[in-house]
Amino acid sequence: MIDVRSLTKQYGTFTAVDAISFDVQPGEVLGLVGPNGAGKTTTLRTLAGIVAPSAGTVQIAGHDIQTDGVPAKQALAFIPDEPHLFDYLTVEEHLRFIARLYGVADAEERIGPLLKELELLDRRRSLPTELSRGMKQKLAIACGLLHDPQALVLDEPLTGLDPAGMRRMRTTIAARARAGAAVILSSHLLTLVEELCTKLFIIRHGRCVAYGTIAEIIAAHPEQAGRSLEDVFLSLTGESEPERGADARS
Amino acid sequence: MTGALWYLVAESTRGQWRSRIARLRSPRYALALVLGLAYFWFLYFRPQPSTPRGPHAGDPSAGFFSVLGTAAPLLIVLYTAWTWIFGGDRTALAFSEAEVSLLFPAPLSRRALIGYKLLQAQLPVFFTACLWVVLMRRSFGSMSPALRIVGVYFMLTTLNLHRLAAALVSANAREHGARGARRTLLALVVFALVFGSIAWALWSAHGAFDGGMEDGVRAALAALRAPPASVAMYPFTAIFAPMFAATTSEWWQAIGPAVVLLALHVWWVLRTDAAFEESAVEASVALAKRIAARRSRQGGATTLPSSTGVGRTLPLAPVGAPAVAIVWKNLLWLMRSGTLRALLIPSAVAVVLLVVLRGQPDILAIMLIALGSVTAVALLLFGPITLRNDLRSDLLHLPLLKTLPLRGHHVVLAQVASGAIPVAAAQYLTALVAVVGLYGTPMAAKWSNSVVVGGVVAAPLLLLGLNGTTFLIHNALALLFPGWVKLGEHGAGGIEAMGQSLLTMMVVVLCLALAVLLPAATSAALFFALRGHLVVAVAVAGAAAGVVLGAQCYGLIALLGGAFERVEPQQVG
Repeated sequence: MIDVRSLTKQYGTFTAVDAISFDVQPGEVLGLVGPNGAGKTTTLRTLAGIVAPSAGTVQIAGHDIQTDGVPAKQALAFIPDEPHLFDYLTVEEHLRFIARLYGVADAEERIGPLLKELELLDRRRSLPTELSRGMKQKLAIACGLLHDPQALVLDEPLTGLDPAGMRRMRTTIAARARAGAAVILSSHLLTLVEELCTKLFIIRHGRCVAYGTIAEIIAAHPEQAGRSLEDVFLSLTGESEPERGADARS
Repeated sequence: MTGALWYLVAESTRGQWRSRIARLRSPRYALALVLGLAYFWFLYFRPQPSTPRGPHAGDPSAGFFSVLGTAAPLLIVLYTAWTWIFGGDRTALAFSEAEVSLLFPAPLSRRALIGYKLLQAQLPVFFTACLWVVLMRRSFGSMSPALRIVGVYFMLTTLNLHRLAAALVSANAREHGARGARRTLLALVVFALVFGSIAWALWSAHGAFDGGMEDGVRAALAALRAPPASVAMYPFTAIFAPMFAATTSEWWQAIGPAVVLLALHVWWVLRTDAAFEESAVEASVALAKRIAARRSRQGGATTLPSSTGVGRTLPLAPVGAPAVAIVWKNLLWLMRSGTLRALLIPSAVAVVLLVVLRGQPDILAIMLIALGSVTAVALLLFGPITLRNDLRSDLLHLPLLKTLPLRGHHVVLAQVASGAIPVAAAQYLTALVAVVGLYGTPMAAKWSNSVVVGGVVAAPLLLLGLNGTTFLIHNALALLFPGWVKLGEHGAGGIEAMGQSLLTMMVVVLCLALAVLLPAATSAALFFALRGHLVVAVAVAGAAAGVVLGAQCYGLIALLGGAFERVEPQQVG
């Protein structure tokens, strides 16, 4: 469903993403994790067609995102960490706008339940400026889910949500995957990644550090056996080195 | 002002120039700069054959320059009165988000902050002054350009200070209730006296218009240059005097009062007893929201709307051409920002004229023709500057736009249509009301019905073509040179941004002039071929011009669609 091959993105002489490859099949949830500045957001933006790759290919539902962008984007939803909303459209109008763009014929039947599910029903006539950060995030999520995408790309989707909203979002992501969507989830919340993801892609300095199910990653790095995901992540990305150094000094 | 604030201004300016120069590494920007400089040289600096100089050559008391010297202070009277009546331009007080969070809690005096704000504006004002002198160098005569730049700079910076002072006094009025309001009231009384004396002068000269327009204008100018109008307008004339001085000695005589006025404004701004920080923070909140929105690609509204103003919506079927959703979204902006009402004002004025002047067909005809012509030209040139509900606003939402399942040229087409269709409709509506109103008047009786009918038939296509072209030029500039175009709903504002606005307008007018060449030639050829049937000739020639303009636009939109698909968020900034 999502097929990434030798994806590279350069900004001048700086390589943000360096020849990474992975795929996500229907029903799978891939966790994309890495430290700040590792290249996660650039990877996700390339998958969504926001930036063009310098080399390599991205295919969504069999369509190349660069050369055959419209059908590829038709199958995709990208939910960014910062919600992108129009100041002059109400909550409900955002969904109508998305419905027309994606040709959701039964939009009327879908909008009500979706707003109810995300607790936005009583704010359907509100403008984004009247919504809290969490509500804006819920609206962005609703816009992403309205056309029932086959591929779902989420960048820190829980940012700004309250605990109940976070739980509901976790349930929604799992339900979409069970319904056959291919999901890529980027988050610093490793507990969320551990709970939802069927496989992991750990990225550092734009390069793949580890890729596969947790069992496959442990098999490739036997020294990590028995450690928590957080310890594995910190160890593989080199983030735990200062602590180790401090330990050694003490 | 502290050394830290000087350092901030100097380093920020250096950083801005560094990024501008770095941008020129892009061949597109470098080529545009070379072409722009060549255009400027051709227009203003190329060697020209010397023209014989008459006795009044270089004498600003003669001709158009003289009229400008009297008309310019009048415009400034209107501008300043506007700022006082409507509470001052609060953007003059706006600090950036970083400035509010870093400078306001810092141990800095209010004067230091205002001084910083003033210092920050000086370089753009100086750039605007240089540009004015270059643009008007042929009209300005032979006086030293350096002295002329100083004159224009004094005029612009005094106006900028006045704008800031008006904003502070207005804030003061809100803060201090009746005591503050008295100061605003005093300013309004002063303006009432100024307007009264101007009105008296114009009224005393109105009889001269019976002898013709030229005599009337000459008498009106003479009345404005004599007391009481000259006395009431003295401060406004004084700030313009160095700019319009004909000789160096005149300039030296004029610069003294201009310096005094500037010094008085500085003193006024620095001692205004306003709750400055509160006012500035309040004014900055809107700016901060815009910056935050820009950062998160949410939009560029300075005045963020609230649902109380949402009102009606427009229907949108869930299936059909997807790009229509973008036009629908932009039309909602037009409704909710109040711009739609503003577009309908000329038509409403035409209807009012029809009712009020129905017994005076000659005056009605002149007024309707003037209204129709001014509306058509003003909306064609300035409509796209006001209506920015297109790529100039939506490029701030680029990450969202690029994830939508739309081809690039469909996005560009929808954005251009969002502005061009409402403006063309407003122009056509005004013209139609004017034509209906003119029907039966003595002036209209002189015209051929064929020309009128042909014009009414051809106008929709022609207006769509022309407005499509102007909106396309603005959108193309934003898409191809986002680093040079102020993105967002409101664009660049204030006196300090005047230079940039002037340059943009010059580029647009040049592009428009080039764009109408082929349509005009086609139209002329068809008119010549069909001239035997006048109504058909006018209708076909006008409509053909619109169709050729539309075809040119579509070709360019196809190219710009590719540019849209290639543009990336970091290029937009």
